Order: sequence, then structure tokens, then C-alpha cells
Amino acid sequence: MKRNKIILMAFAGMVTFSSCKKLIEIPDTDLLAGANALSQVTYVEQAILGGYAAATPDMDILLNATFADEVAKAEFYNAVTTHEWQYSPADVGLRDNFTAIGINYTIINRVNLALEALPNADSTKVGDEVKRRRLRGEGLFLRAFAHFELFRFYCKNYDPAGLGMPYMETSSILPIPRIAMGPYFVKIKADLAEAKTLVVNSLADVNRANVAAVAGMQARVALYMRDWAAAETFASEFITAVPLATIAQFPGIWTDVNTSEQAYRVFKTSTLGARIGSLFRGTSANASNIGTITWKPSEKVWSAYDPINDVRFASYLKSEPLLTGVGRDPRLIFKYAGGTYAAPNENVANGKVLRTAEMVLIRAEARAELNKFTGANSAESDINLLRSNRITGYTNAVFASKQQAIDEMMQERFKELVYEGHRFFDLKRRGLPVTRLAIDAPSAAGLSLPANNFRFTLPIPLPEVTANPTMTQNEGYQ
Amino acid sequence: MEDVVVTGYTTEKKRQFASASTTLTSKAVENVPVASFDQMLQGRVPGLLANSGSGQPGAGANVIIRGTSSLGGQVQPQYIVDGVPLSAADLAALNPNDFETVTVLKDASAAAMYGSRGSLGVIVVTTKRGKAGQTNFTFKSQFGFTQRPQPSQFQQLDSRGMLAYEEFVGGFANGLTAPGWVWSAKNPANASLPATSPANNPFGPSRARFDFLLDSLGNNNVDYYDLLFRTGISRTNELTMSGGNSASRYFIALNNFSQEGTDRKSKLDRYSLRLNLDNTVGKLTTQLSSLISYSKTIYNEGSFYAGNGTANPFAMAWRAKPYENPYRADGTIIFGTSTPTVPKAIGNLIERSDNTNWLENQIKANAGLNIAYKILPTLTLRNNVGIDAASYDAQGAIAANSYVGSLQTFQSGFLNESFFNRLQMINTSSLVFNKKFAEKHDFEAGAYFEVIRQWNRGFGLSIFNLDPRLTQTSQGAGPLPTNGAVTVAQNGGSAKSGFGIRSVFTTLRYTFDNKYTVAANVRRDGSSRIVNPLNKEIDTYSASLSWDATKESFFEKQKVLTDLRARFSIGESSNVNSIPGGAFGINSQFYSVANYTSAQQAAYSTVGFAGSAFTSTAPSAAVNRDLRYETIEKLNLGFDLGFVKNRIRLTVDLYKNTTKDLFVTQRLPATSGFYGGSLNVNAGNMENKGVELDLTLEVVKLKDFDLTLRANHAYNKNEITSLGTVNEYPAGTGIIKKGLPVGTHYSFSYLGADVASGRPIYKRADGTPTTNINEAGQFHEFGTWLPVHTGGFSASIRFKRLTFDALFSYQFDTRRYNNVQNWVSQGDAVYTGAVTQSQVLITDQWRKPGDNKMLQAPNASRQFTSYDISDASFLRFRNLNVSYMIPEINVAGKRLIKSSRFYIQAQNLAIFSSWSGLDPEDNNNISLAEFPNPKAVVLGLDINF
Repeated sequence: MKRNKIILMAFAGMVTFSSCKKLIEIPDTDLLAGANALSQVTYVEQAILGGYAAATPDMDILLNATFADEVAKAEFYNAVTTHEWQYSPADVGLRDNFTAIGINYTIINRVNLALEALPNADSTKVGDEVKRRRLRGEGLFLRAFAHFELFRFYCKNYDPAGLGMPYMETSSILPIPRIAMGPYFVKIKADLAEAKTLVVNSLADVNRANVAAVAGMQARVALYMRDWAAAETFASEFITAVPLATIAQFPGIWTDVNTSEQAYRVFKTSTLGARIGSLFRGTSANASNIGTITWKPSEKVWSAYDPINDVRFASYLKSEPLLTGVGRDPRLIFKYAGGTYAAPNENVANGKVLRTAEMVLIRAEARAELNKFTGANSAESDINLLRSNRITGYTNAVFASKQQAIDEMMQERFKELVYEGHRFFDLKRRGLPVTRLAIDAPSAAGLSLPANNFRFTLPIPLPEVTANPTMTQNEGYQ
Repeated sequence: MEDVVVTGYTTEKKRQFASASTTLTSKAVENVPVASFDQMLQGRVPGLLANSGSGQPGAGANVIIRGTSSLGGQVQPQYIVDGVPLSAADLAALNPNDFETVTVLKDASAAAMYGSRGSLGVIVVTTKRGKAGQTNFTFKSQFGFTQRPQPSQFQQLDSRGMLAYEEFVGGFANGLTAPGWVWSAKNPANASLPATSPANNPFGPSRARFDFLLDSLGNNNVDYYDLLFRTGISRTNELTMSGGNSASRYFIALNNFSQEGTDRKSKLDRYSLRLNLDNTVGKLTTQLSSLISYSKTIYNEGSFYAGNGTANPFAMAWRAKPYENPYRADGTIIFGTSTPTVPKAIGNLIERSDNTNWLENQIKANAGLNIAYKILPTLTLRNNVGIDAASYDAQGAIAANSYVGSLQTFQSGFLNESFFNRLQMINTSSLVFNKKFAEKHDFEAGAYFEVIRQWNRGFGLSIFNLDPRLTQTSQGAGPLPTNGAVTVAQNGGSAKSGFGIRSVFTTLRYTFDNKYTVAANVRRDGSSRIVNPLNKEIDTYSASLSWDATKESFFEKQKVLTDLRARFSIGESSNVNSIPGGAFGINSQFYSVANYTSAQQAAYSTVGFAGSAFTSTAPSAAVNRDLRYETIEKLNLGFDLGFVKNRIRLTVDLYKNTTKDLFVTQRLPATSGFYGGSLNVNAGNMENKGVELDLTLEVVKLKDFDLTLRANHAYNKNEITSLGTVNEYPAGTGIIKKGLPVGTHYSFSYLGADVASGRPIYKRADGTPTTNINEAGQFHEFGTWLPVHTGGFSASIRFKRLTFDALFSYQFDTRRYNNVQNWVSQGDAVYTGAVTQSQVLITDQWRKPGDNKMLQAPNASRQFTSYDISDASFLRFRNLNVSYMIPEINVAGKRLIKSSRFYIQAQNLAIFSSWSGLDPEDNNNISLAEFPNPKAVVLGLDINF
């Protein structure tokens, strides 16, 4: 009798506690983290937006301007190592302005954590199931986008056997080695292809990914892979969805009064996001005391345009009389000038990341490479299309050879996409040297960077080499 | 007592127990005038370091057994009272007079029962229990004093000396605003002063006026030690009752311990009630052990925050200028804005101390119910359920009608009220089989299932704009202005957390012919403190072997030894307490609520994004989702030797503990999403190797005279053997480096003052000297703050009814930063302006080219260097007890008093050390004017009737 009582008691004790079979799964209820933080689709959306929040074209814009021939030093110059290609893995200039490895893996990690939480997140609102699909698409787009950026900074030209970067599909703190570009690009393409089936097909909100934006990325990726057929297809897709701006619409792109040509942009305000215009010129103390000019347009850029008939000249560049008056060089990069001098939104301008003009030029390049350099649906027709929407009174050109088409295309990319983050990558991609005019060069050493030089690819920063023992340093920097 | 070892789960025969353990009897902890019993362990247990970082009554020690085995901060060993876990934070809530034994379990097999909680060692306490027979009453009363710290040993300058030194420094360096320079005749600013003040402005600047002021200040020489400290009163009253019959026994103890600290306000009042019941009826044994206690602690607000702040009396006693007189002629305090020429620092400190109330109440319950039922003579079913609960409330109040109250936000006092409670419950069910076969084969096997659940909760709130007529209350507090803000921050906070641990384990022991014993333990521990399901549970083991040579036939034939046993143990244990976690702030001046998984789950916070109307969020720090337990592999080899009829006993233990999967701070690869960041990951290894000796000599053993000498010594060598992908990283003022011990200092090497320029000279990394600190190297050649050698020795003398016990403890091979020394010997304009400087500067400071001196010129700063890393070795006269046993007192043939005892007990009587400062003992690497351990002397009377 008593024995049973005791056994019962003992078991009652055991059961009381171990009924918490979940004893080793007790959650930290008050921690806004992990599963708690991303428990609903709404919160996963916030986390995906956190991925967008880290994305910005500033680094591309500054790199392609200052490493190539788009700018010349002006009133303040402390960028000798980058502007004159003297960088090592420990370079302070690279560390301060071009740590693409940091920012892009930040985007990737934010997105990966959100994507991991997404399938289990509760849907609490009408439309959450639709949103769940869209969010996955946006996450994949951002992941592919950031990995492609890493490739542009740290990898040599596309070669399936060449060294890519670590492709992160889950969040991890472990050191992960670089993989070959072949599989790396398979993953980029797969993420984009899936994203395209999930994201919205609407240009209502170009701050976030949509079908056209994905197509644009696919075109850009194909271009860098020299997959000309795919580049032509995807670029056409984009152009159909987002037509080229007319001469009348064009200036509005740069003053942010319209979103012509844009499928994906990085929206900036005076309080959120760095000011792109400040990459070239500091903000002004007052309306007559214009901020310090760090970089001015190179003579090569300045003289490339017909200043009267080419609408791009006035949208991109300005000769500022206020500066002449005080004995300063009047030439300004005006593409991202934002509000008036000393206004709260001075230098505040959105980053136009994927726009139609780039797609027209991608298609022109693809068609030229496919030997379609003249006639209908050729490089010639694409370049004429672009120019006729930029230059008043333009007469169509006729290209006599593939080489001419390529040369015209490169010159048009230089003019159209200046300060948009393409030039240095274009020269690298096409195996061309950086050639500065003597008047633009900061020194004899800064006159040119020979074609295919190892410095077209940035070094893996030293702290990363220390932190990740499996990391391989790029050629020339070992 | 010599024969058994209480492990908490079981009681083992010592001769069959292979483990390294030290058992102390109640004598070691009885009547010691210290609230927290961990402090009493110093010098008594070989291999146990118990250093206290505060002399606040009730403060505990930092206890480290056999060296630091984790880099993740100060994790205390597991405390167990009568089978129930006790939070290391609540040791002061217990009355050590209740203790029967204190057993320190040090090696793998001893701690095996405790699994992931016991890897840093286990301290097992058993309390007194009733014995069958006549009811026994004991009344204990104790009264005495705690004494203020000895004055600073920094050779501070007196008022005139300090004024003269200020004049010297002012002439040397720009910007000194101290009176000795401001009013100096040598100050160029005073060159055109009139000789006397004009008649219409008798206090106007003039040479005569300035000389008067200097003379006036020079005549003040306030002894701040007298002013800021006191002699505290320490008293204890206790009544115990015990008795019972063969079936039921009880022990009841009611105790009040009250002790004032040596600063102006600190005090602890503790009331405790213990009730232990034992009941045996047939096959059923029931044991109840319970403690309930209430403690009230008063802090001096300035000492509570400690550090170098101007409210800390232990800093200001040496820091404040001796020429400040904090009292007016009428005895009122001078307070208000303090300037170098009108210093009011001490006045402000006293005013602040008088108008602040920092206090804490604690209700503590620790109880266990152990039910054992002998199903068969060989088979026992047992269930042990335990509760360890603590509820705290605290108040930090600054009076609205005071000067310090006017300095608070909204200028009218401040009140912070907070609450915290912690509850841990444990249930252990076991089935143990024990049988002796054929006389020679003693076999025991046990299976255990154990669950632990802990809950924490806390909240706090801050009240501003208090009513000046009331204190320590929010009643009458006015509304808070918003100053036009759209939103205002919360002034309150709360949080809750908890965790669970689930263990299954089995033990096996086999003893052959009382000679050889093999024992093993295999277990699985799981905890919610690890998030990753793959890593939640861990399997560990231990095994041991012991040999009792006295049972061998050859033993009889030799004459040298009278006892010989050999013990060997090996095992691995996981450490649940070193898992990195975090804490929730709850708007409390006293508490935060621990969380357990914040290092493993990405926490989200808002990030700016212009592209959406929705909030956007991102993880704010990298997390380790693959976090695992640290494990410690422990090896121990021990010998117990006896000579001369065991009147000489020696225990020797050799051990090696290897921490694996050690948490180390590792740089993160960019792919983690946190480029340049770092995180604690399981990537390192660490080793503690050491020797422990424990020697007892019964020198004289006569009817009326005994003399017993005891000594113990421990040597521990700590070494970080791996840090994963890195070899070293700086951590605070130290360095974590492969091949070096934990706690290694990392500093500039200071060489002295340059003979020509007086500038400080440092060593470059290549060994050459430089006077530019930016070119100087940092070195790790200045030792570690964790002592390598620790020990103690004691003497017990009994002459008839008089006994005399003395305990000394010591530590050496330990060096600490002496921040106070750094401040009083900087000798530059900044420190001369703010801190009373040392006479060392008069003799050892460079003054002119050609001087070959240690300390740099007043126009240069020496910074924080090896000069201020000092030897912190000490020998401490820890405890003295002289007692006299009064014989039975019979009145008219009736026994009135069975026995009684009168004693004098003194704690921390003296300290011998080359350390400059109040106390070389501390629980960390740097001396920052902490509350020193007090000296306490009490008289006591125990009456047994």
C-alpha cells in the first residue's frame, strides 16, 4: 500500500516536471530575435526591406568614376592610392570607400535570414500568401544582385574555371572558401530565374524588385558572361517593359521628377542614405559658398558631348558662374546635384540602378557581337534609337563594321552611363586600358592603367584574409 | 567525518572514493563575522581561490577551483545545500552556523553527478540535523566591531606639500588651475598684483590676499579617513533547538546577523530560520531541509558604484585635496559647485551620502524534500525535490530637497524602484541497487533522471521631479515636461526569462575486497540554453579507480607508512554556465534579467530605409547558431599518505584539466554579414595543470594539550593552448594569447624619464627606447592577475579548556594594475589639478635636464603603463579564534547549562604585502578604489542547555 504511494509520488514528481518534455526547448520569450522577430510575413517583409536598405550604388559610382577616366582631381585630393592604382590589400582608401565585400555580404545575410524564416512565418493579413511569394522573389533578386556586385569587384572577367566568391545561400559565421565562377554564375542565374516568377510585374514601386528589374539584371549578368543571345533577349524584355525616355523626359530622370527608364532605383532622402552628389562635391555652407569639389568632370567627359544639342550635357554637367567669380574651377558634375546649394536636399538624388538606356546599350553590344551591326534590330539601330532620344536634330548613323559598332557602343556607354558605375568595369570587361588625357591625369603614373592589369580586380581586404583562413587572395596581391 | 564524503546525491565511503575533494567541518565556518561563507574558504581548501572584491557586508567572493577554465567571465562553481542547488549570488542569505560540513568536489568523478552544472567544481554543504535524545538548546551571542581601512599607503602630500607641488607643476605645465599655482607669487599672471587689496574691496586680488588664502588652505589638514569611514558594529544572536526520537528528529535555528560596514552607511541585517526534519519509519525515510531568510542591505550610494567617481569615499579618501575643509565653523557641510580654488568635493560627497538611500531587501527560500524508500534491502527508490527561490527589491533614492537632488534630471530628486525574482526547481528521481556478494564483491548501480527549471523576472521604474517634502517615495511627484517632443522614452522596464536542464545518468561502482574500487558515470545533459537542436544534448562520462593499500598483506610488513591510498580519475563534463548570453535592461539601478540565447539568435532592430513606408529591420549583431557546450576533460591522480599512526597525514593531488571547444572571440568573415565583426565561437583549447598538497601534523596529542598544524598549497598553471584561427587578441588591459595564461597583462613597457627632456621613455616592439607612445610596443611580460600559487596554514592549540586557532592565507605570483597609484603618481597638470599627489613625485620626478629619474616631467603624461602593474602577492592573517570552554553549570544539583564557550574571533587581522593600497586582494585585474575587506573583531558566547 505504502510502497505504491511512494512510487506514485516519485512518478508524480517526475511527471510534473518532465511533462515539460519541452524542458530543453524553453524559448527566450522576451528576446526580439530569431523566430520571435520574424514570426509573421509582415516582419519578414521588414527584414527584406532591411536588405534593400543596405543596397546603394554609391560605391560603384565612385569606383567607376575615380578608377577610370570619368573624373579629374579638383580641390581636395587624398585618393592617390585608388585614383592612381597603388592599392594593396591593406589600403586605407579601399577600406574607407570600397569595401564591397562588407556591404554586399551584409545584404546577402539579411536576405538569407529572411528567406530562412519566410516559409514558417505566419500569415496574419489578407494577401500575405501573395506577399510571401513576392518576398521570396525579392530576396532572391537581392541575393543575386549582391553576389554579382562581389563578382564585379573581386573577380577577373568571367571564366567558368576562374575564381568566383563564396556564394551564400544560408546565414553562416563559418569561414567559407571561394568557388569557381562557373557554379557561382549558375547560382546567380538560378536565383534570378526563380525571382522572376515571384516578384510583381508592375513598375508602381521601383524601390523594390519587379519583373523588369530582374530581366535587367539577367541582361547585365549575360553581358558580363558574354552570353550575347541571352543578353539580347533579356535587354529586349526590359526595353519593352520600360521604354526609353524622350529628350523631353530625360532631364526629369536626374532631377527625380519622374521615374522614366527606371525599373529599380535606390531612393534617397536628405536624412536617409548617403548623398550621391557628395561623392564629387561637398555640401555648401550657403548659397554662394559652394562645397569643396573633390572630383570634377574629366576633360574627356566634358568634351565628349555636343553641349547644345545633346540633352545629356546639361543634365550631367554644369559650368557654374558662381565659382568663376571666386576664382574656382567652374566645372561641376551635376548628375546628382539634388537641391540648390546649401538647400537641405543638396546632393540628394536617387540612385538609378537599372534603367533602359543601359539595356539598349547592352542589346547593342550583344547584337554587334552577334555580328548584327547594321540594319534593323542591330547595334546600329539600337544606338540610333538612343541617340535620337538624346540629341536634338540627330541624323541616324550607319555602321560599316562590327568593330565600328563596338567602338560606337563603348563611346555611347561612356557618354550615357557616365557616373552610373559602369566605366571601369566596362574597360575591364572588354580588355581595354584606362587611358586618361594628360590634362585629366593627376600624375604621370596616373595617366593609364594597361589593359588586363591585375588592378582591374580589387584585392580581398586584409582583415578578411585574416578572418577567413580559407579565403584566396587575388592575383597580384598575394 | 574522516570516513565519508557527501557528494550531494550520495554519501561515499572515503576509502572507496577515488575523487579529489576537501571536506571542512563546521568549525571552519562557525561564528566567523562574515556574512557570505565563500569568503571563509580562503586558505582552507587547496586549489580553491576565494577572493573578495568588496568589503560591503554580505559581499561574496569570486571562487575559482583549479584555475579559470573559461574565457567567458567569472562563472562560479555550483553550490548545493542539502541536495538543493543554491544560487551563488545568494550565499549571504545563509547562516553558516547551520552548516555541518562543506565539501569541495574538484575532479571529474566527484562532479560527475552534476553534469553540465558541475564542471567548474561543486561546493556541497550539509546542514545540522537533530539527533535522537534530549532536546538541546544552544544560544549564541556575538558582539564586536568592523574597523575602517588603514590610511592610504600612497604617501600622499599634506596640504602645504600639495600646494607647493601645485606651484611647481604650474610653473612647468600650462593650464593648472589649482590654488597652489593660481595664487602663487611665481605665477606670471600675478606679476602685477597690488601688494594689498584696496580698502573698498578687502577681498580683492592682491599679493597679501593670495598669501592669506594659501596660508589658510595650508592650515587645513583634514583626515578624510576619519571623516568618511567609521567603526561598524557587528552582532549575532542565535537560538537553536534540536532533538527527537529514533523515528523523528528535528533541528531548528533562528539567527539574526547584523553588521555595519566601514564606510558611512553600509549595513547588512539578516534574519534566518532553518528547519530540518528527519523521519524514518520502516523502509521509508523522509528528510526535509529548509531555510527561509530575510536580508536587508544598505549601501552607501558612492561605494555602490565604486570606481574613481567623486562620490566614492574609497576613491576620494586619497584623491581629494587635503586642504579642502568640508565643514563651516558652525558644523554645517560646505557643498555646491566645486572648483580647484574652492574645492567642495568632500562636502559634496558627504551631502550626497546623507541624501541618498540605496537599499535592497531579499527574501530567500531554499528547501528540499528527500524521500527514500527501500523497495528491497538492496534497492532504494528516491525522489528529491528542491526549491531555490529569491525575491529581491531595491531602491535607489535621491532626496529632492538636497543639492545632489538638484543635479538630477528635472532638478528635483530621483527615485528608482526595482524588483527581481529568481526561482529554480529541481527534481531528481533515482533507483539505486547496492549489494555485497560473497563478502568480497561490493556492487552499486544507480539510475537517475533529473529536471531543472529556472524562472527569472524583474522590473524597474524611475521617478523624477519628486516632492521636496518627501523622500524615498513617488507620492507627490510632479508630471514630467515633454519639452515639445513628439514621443518620450519610457521610464520603466520589465523582462522575464528562464531555462530548463534535463539529465539522465547512471552510476556504477564495484569494490573488490575493500582494496580496489572502480566507478563510472555516463550521462546525457540537455538544456534550452542551446538553441541548435543538434547541440542541445551532450553525452559525457567519468571513470575512476582507487586502491586502498592498507588492505594489502605487504602493508602490514612495512613500518614507514600507516596509510596509503591511490586514486585516479578521468572524465569529461560540459559547462552549461559558460554559454554566452545577454541581459535585458529593466530600468533598474540594481538588476538586469539574464537572457540565455541572445548570442545564438539574430536580434532585429530598425534600420533606415527611404524606399518604403514600412519599417525596415536588420539583425544588429552576428550570432552563433552552431554554438556548442564547452567541455572540460579532467584527469586527476591522488595519493593519501599517513605516517606515525596517521598523526602525519599528507594528501597529494596532480591534475590536468583541458577545456575544449573553448569560447574565444573570433574575427568574422565577411560572408557572415558582419565584416570586421567578431563573435564568441567554440574554437579554442585551454589547459590547467597543477599540484595540490594538504598536510596535517598532530604535533602534540595529550590529555590537556593538543597542537595540530595544517598547511595546504596549490600550484596551478593555466595556458591557452589554441585560439582557433588566431594566435592572440587584446582583451581590455590584457591579452588572450596562445601559450600564455588567462589574465595576462598587456601594456606599454615604461622605462623612466628621459635624462635630457624628462619625457617618458617606453620600449619599442624591437626593444629600443622611444619617448613617443605611438611608437611604443605593447608587451605581455608583466604576469597575470590570477595567482599561480595559493595556500594557507593554520595552527590549533588546545590547553585544557582554552583553544587557540589561527589561520593564514596567502597568494603569490600575481600582479595587478594599481590604478590608484597611477593617479597619485602621474605628476602632470591634469592629475595634479584633480588628485592629491604622492611624495614619490618629490623624490622620483624629473625636474631639470640631467635628472636621472623614474617619473616623467610634469609637462608630459606617462599614461597607463607597466609602471603601475604591481605585485599583488599577500600573506593574510585571515582568522584568529581564542575560546574557552566553560564547564557544566549545576545549580542546586540541577544541571542548568550543559556547556558554554566564550571566545574572541578576529577576521583579517593583518596583511603583509608589498602592494600600495588598501587591499591587494580583489576579484579582478585592476584596483579601482574598491571597498576593502574590513578587519572584524568580535566577542562571543555560546551557551548549550
